[in-house]
Amino acid sequence: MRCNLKRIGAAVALTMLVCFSTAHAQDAFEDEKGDSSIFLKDGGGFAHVNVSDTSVKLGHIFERTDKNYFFGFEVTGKLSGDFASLFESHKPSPEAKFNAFIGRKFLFSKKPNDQPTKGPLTDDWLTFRMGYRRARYKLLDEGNTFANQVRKQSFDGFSAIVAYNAQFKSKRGPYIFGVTGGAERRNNVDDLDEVEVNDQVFTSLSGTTQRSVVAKQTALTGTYKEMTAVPIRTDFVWFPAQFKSQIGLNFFTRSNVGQGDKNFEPGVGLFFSKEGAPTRVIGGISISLRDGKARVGLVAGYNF
Amino acid sequence: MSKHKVVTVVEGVITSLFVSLEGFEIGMSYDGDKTYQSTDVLDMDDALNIVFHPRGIAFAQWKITVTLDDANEPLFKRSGQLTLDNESILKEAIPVPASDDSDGSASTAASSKSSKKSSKKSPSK
Repeated sequence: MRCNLKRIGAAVALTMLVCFSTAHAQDAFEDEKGDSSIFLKDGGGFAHVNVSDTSVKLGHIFERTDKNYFFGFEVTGKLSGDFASLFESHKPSPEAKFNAFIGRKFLFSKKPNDQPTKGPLTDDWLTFRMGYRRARYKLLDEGNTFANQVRKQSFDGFSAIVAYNAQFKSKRGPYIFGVTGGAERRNNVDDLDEVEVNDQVFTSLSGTTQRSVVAKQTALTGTYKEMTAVPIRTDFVWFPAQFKSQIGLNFFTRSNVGQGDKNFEPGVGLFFSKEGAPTRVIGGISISLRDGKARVGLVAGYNF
Repeated sequence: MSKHKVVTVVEGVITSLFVSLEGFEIGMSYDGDKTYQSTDVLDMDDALNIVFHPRGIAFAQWKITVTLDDANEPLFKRSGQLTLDNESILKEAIPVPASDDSDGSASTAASSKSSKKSSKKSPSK
C-alpha cells in the first residue's frame, strides 16, 4: 500500500514538473494571499509557487502581435498542508481554481510602429477574468452527533474581475500601475482554526506491549460562512533604474467593499527578477497591514 | 525581384512588438513564454528592409533572428536590451545573397505553407 502511494506521489510530482516546464502564469507581483492587480499579458511565462499561500499556478496565453486582443487560461492548485507536503505526503491538491481571460491592448497607448513612442505611457491593456474555484474542507462541529462531528463541506466560488494595467517610462526607472475590481464568492476558512482529530481505531495487548491504532485527520473548527466579496486591488511597481530592473518595489492596496470582512489593507513588496527579464520574478517578500497587524508573505517564482 | 521564405523569431520578455518586413507589418504568434515567430513569403530585391520595435520594461533583453529560405545560418541576427524609454527601434536593410533560382522556385513548398499569412499583410504606418 505504502509502495503504491509512493508511486502515485512520484507520478503526481513528475506530472507537475512536466506541467511546470510547459505552462505559464501571469501574475508576477503577488502578495501573501497570491493576489495582484498586475496582470502580465506577456512575460509571465513561468510556473509559480506562492510559499505563503501554498499554491502552484499554471497557465497559457494566446496572442499575436498584429492583433489588439489576447486570451488564455490559468489553473491554480492549493496544497493541503505546508509547502513541503507537496513532495512528501503524496496528496493531491484539495483546492483547484480555473480562470479564463480575454483582454484588449492599447486602450490609451499607441500600438508600436516604426516610430519611437511619444509620452510616458508605453503600453496598457484591459483584462476581463472569469473564474471558478472548487474546494472541499473538513469541518469539526462538536455540537453534532458523534458520526457527524467531522463533515465535508464543498465550496463553489465564481469570480468576475476586470483589471487595467499601464506601463510607463521614466528616467528614474520604469513602472507599472494596476487596478482591479469585480465580484467573487468567498468563504471564511482562513479565519477558522485548524485542529487535528485523532480517532483511536483499536488497541491490542500482548504481554507488556500495548498497541493502539490512531486515525488522524485535519479539520477546521468554527462557524463556516460564505459571502460575495467585491475586492478592489491596486499595485504600483517601480523598477529603480540603478538596479537595471532586477529589483521591483511594489506599493499595493487590497480592500473589500462587498459582503464579509470589509477591509483596507495597504502593503509594500520587494521583488527580485532575472537579469534581462524584469517581469520574471525569482523571489520576493511582501508586508501588508491589516487590522493593525503586519502580515508577511514570501513569493518564489520558478523559471524553467 | 524574387520570392523568399522568411522566418522571423523574436525572443524576449516584452509586452508589445512591431516587426515589418519590406514595409509590411507581420503578425507574430506568441508561444506563451518569451518567443514570437512568423513565417512569411515576400518579394524582395537585393535587400530585406526590416523594422523591429519591441516594448516592455527597460533593460529587458531581446534577440531577433531572420532566416531566409530554410538556410542553416540566419541571414540576420541581433540582440540588445530595451532602453530607459521602455523600447528599442531597429531599422536595417539586410543584403540578400544572390540566388541561383531567382524565380523563387526554391521556396515553392514554403510559399504554399505560409501563403495564407503572407496574403494578409497590410502596409505598416
